[in-house]
Amino acid sequence: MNRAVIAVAGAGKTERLAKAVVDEPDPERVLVLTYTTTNQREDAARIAQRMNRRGTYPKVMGWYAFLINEIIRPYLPMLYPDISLHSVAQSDPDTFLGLTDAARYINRNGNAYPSHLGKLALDTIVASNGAAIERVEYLYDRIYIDEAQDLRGNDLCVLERLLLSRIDIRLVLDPCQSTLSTAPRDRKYAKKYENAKIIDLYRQWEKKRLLEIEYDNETHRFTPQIALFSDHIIREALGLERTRSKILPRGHHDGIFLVDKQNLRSYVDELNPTVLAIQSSARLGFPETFNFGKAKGLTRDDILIIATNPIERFLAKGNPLRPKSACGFYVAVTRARYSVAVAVSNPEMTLHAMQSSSSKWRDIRVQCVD
Amino acid sequence: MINEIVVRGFRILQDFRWQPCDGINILVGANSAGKSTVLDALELVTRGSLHGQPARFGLSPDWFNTDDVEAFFDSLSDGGSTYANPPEILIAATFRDEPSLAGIKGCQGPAGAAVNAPGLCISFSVPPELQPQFTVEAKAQLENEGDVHVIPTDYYECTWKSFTGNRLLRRPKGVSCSRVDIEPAAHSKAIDSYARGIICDELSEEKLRDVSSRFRELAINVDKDVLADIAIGCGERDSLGLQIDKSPRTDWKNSIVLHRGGLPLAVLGSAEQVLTKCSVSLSGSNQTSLLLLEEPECHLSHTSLNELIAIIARAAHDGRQVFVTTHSPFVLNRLGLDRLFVMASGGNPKRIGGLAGDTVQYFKRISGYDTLRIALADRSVLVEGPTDEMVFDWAFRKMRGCLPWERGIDVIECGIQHRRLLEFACALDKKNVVALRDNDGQQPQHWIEKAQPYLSDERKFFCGACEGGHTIEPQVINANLGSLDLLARSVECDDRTREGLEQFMTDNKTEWALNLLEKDISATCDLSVPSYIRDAINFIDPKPEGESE
Repeated sequence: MNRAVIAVAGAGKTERLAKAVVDEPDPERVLVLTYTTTNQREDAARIAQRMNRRGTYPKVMGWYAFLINEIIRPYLPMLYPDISLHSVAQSDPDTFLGLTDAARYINRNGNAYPSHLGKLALDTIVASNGAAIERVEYLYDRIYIDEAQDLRGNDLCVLERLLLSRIDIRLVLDPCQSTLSTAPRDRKYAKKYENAKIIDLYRQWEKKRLLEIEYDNETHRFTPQIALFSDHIIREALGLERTRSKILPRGHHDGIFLVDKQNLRSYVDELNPTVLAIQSSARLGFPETFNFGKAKGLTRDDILIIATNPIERFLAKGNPLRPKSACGFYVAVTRARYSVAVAVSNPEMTLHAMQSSSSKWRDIRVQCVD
Repeated sequence: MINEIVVRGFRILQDFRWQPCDGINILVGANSAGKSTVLDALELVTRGSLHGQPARFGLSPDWFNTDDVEAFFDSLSDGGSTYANPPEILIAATFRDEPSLAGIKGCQGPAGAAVNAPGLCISFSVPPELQPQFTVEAKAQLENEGDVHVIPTDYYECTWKSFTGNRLLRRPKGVSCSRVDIEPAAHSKAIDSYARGIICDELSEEKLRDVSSRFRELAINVDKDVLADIAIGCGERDSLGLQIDKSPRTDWKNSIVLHRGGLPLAVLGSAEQVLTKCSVSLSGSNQTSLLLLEEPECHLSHTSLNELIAIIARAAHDGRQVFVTTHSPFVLNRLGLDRLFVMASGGNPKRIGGLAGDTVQYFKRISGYDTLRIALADRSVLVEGPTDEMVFDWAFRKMRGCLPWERGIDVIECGIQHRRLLEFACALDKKNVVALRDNDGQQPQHWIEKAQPYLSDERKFFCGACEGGHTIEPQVINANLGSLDLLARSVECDDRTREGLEQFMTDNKTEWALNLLEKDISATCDLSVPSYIRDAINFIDPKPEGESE
């Protein structure tokens, strides 16, 4: 039975995946897929570490490479006989308007547009009368997909074909960290399963018995205080259980803090936190600064988040964040082990609002930094 | 297992297509018919290398089909604006559809084959962006060197792909190919490259890494413990030290040899080498694998050859596909005539199975010796029996001053099975075949018509006219009615009458012919050759123009 593990941030997804992969009896018939090159490197390294030079390493492949090399190219002649496919294009075209037939998918140099790659793969599967999936069935008994929440648009339709195949599919994902997309310009499912709402599709699939969902709600990264704060950001809205944590506070400067945006310097100098901002704000002049997207996969003791206006309103008034922003904020917060500081325009006022009886944050212990 | 191999523009194989059978395939053909080229093509497409050298480094001008090359240069010298495309080489092998070959399965086979099948394809072509430059260089060559046409291979790109359309960097999973060169390794290099092949094929990734890391360790330790202390003064400049070369040139794979009981394989006898290489190639896992063997009869004693044939037969029995080229009827007989494919100068191999069923039976029953002779001879003469052979030899010597074999003409006795051999020769597209037989009381036309489907301007049937007699004896007598005395002396018959001679010659069939042939040339030169034999000789060995009979 196909299985999806929906795991909280810091649950040890990659480690869990590496362990399962290493225990596979026939590694040659196992494939590990993930979207980003960073994750491919990370997965391959963890697996190699555990294999410790024993036997054959399972193949780790990027999602695009999988679609291109294992699905589309072998059967493309059945769909577009005279088109040759080279690789994936660096980017989508400025507009898809006016592009028809194969030109919607493949540019003049033979490179496929990333956002339409999933649809191209799906069309190829249909045109091949299923032979494309059959071929993969002969090659692999089990396919692991790490960070599966990144799969979007028609890539999800391809995933559904894989779920329906004889191959055993193991997915690991955290819908709350849906900040990336394999098909940013593909409208398929874009609204219906926007960002974290992707969890609804997996629940649908579970209902259809295409897979079983297992929830891993225990984090090994951050303290219960941070866990609770992060649950309020997004997990509760998705109906996910509370994050459990056995991480003990270190005993000083633990928990959630508010800092004055105008006066970050002293906080940064004193604590040396990792600064996260919407734009990679080199102009802030702090040594280690990331935007939310790049922060994914990081772990730091102390994090300082430069709040956007929507985040400020989210904290002060409970105005919901846009789905994408919510995921970004969740990713940012869950980078910290011990302390999360949010830089806002008026810390005192924000603190007051957060502690009011109608606030969703009232059970969080928030402190202002002088 | 390979279902079909297609070769275009590779040496003599200009447009080649062959469906080999599973198990053993025996390729027979005259020298330079392209048998070895077929094996080379199989090796290239399945291994991406030839004789241990990666294909992209191996390409040499002689790999291109000479007709293709000439056509290309002709089109250049025509000066027209439409140039032929640069010559290309394409080799594609389609495999039987098996789950284990899913990795190379797809419908990106060579053009026109949008068929979903596993397969491999290797090609050499000039990328479009380099074609103008290529043409310029070729034209320059035409101007400077005139008739010497050499393809500038450095413009070529080698692409090795599976039918998925994905490029291959190493041998794909599920396909393996071993080629056993029967040529004994003159120096250890050949065997070393064979060993390297084995290393890459047989050692697991894990072991490869292990050996590599130990070699590195060893090198580092030697550097550190022994070489580190050595300093070489360099005058004013900083002094130099010594360290073990770690460049790819000194790859540890070059330091690995095969051995038995501590003796490197290279010092074993050639038969032992061959048998060992063959056994080693076959002892691997039972994946889809090909075994290529070139003329195993060379360099092997009868006993070793027997042993080798047993190994080959076992390999085929275990599901391997074996390709053997041979000139030996013994090998052919032992491996089975029904697995015979005959090739003529770059043409598609013809299977003997393409012949009529009773003809196949016939060739199976007889030793197969004559089939090979007709397959291999440049020119052949089919006669009934020893008498006919000797009379032909005598007649030929009389007319041409030498024996047929000295002119590359093979005289083959076939009883009265001319038709079957002609059918065989026709199946091989053999030219220069002539059949001779007694009329046995039938009009010559009767015999010619029976063999008609297999006759052509290059394959003729000659038969003595009825009035000359039913068999060769009266034919010879009737041709020499004016010199019966000389004939009687030549065949050593005491009776010099026509009837007495016919009686004697019929009773002593081979003897009279032998006597005739053994006489000194001058002693029998006044005897005449029956006209149908003369015609046959003039057909198979035409006099150069201007020379009279």
